[in-house]
Amino acid sequence: SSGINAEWPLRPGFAGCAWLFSFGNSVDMFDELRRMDKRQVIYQFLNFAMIVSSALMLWKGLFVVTHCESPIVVVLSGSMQPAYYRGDLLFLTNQPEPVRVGDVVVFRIRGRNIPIVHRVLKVHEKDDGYVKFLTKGDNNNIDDRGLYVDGQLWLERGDIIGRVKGYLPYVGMMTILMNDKPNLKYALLGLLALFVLIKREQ
Amino acid sequence: VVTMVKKIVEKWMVDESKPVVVEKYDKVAVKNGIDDLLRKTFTTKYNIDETFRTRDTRLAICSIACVFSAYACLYDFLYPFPDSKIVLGICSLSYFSITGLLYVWEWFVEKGTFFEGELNGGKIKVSSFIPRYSGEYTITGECPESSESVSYTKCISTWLDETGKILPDKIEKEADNLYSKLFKAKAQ
Repeated sequence: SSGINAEWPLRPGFAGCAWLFSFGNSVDMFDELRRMDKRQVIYQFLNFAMIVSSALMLWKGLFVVTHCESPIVVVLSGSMQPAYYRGDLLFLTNQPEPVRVGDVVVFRIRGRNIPIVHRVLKVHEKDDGYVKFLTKGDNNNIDDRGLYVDGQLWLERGDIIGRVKGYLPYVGMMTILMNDKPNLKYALLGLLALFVLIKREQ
Repeated sequence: VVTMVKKIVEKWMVDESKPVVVEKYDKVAVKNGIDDLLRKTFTTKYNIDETFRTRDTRLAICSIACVFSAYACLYDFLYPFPDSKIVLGICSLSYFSITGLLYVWEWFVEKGTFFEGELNGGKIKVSSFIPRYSGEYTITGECPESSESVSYTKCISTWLDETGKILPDKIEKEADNLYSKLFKAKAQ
């Protein structure tokens, strides 16, 4: 992308930190920190750890509730337009209910990292419970057999990560942006961490 | 390495005689500043030994919660999702229960206590409270054993000047006031 190089998130980041320090000096912000005793310092770090833990436990707890290893995903391509656009956030569940034709599923192809979100086109079921699926993106002309592994004609239940149960438009653009520019992600996380460590609560 | 760390810590620690200035509109900073100075006065002027039971309990509860969370993350890292479902479920529930317990404890037991100490075998507990949108600072001192207790409310402008500097002599006067009220009965 023209005009934007990898350094741009860092310069405003440094400028922001410089402003923060000068503001801090004017109200002796750091004096308050320097006056903290041992237990108060430990508590600041524990506070930070607890905030991180809360986020992590919410996320992992979501795994358990939805039975899904990746309950929130971001749409990366336009192959499901007009239902889902690039940058939409999808909420998945993976309950043991049967997957039916018309369900929008997120699946992973063996050997590839990035999951795909497409709609189920065909379902074949055997009496013993073995099921196989064929999928196709709404905005694609052909079904997904071209995407599957060489020789693979169907998907199995184990390939499916989950079914889409809800969505939020546009919110995922933030994730896409942060993954494209990891410096931005680190700068943001660093600033957040700094803020939590410095701010004293009651 | 230890001496180096000690030197860094010394440089970092602020000079004791430097006046304490806080952002006067930040209720939390004001409360912390006043509490800290009162605490310092109790320990230095009256030689009350500070006991850390309340603070250590809080640190312990937080640490236990973090241990649960760390264990869950480690287990999930070693044995990825479907296998770790039970551990994740238990740890997640435990973590949030412990956090809930922390809130309950803070609300019912700790109640704004910022200083706990012992003097001549008698325990003393001081707590303070500032409501959300007000500058009224309520201080409560109590001796749990003898059920002596004194509590009053003053505006924070009693101890702060316009720049946000906390006036040490006013704080000392306040500490004297509390001390005499609490230990008056004991002296008799």
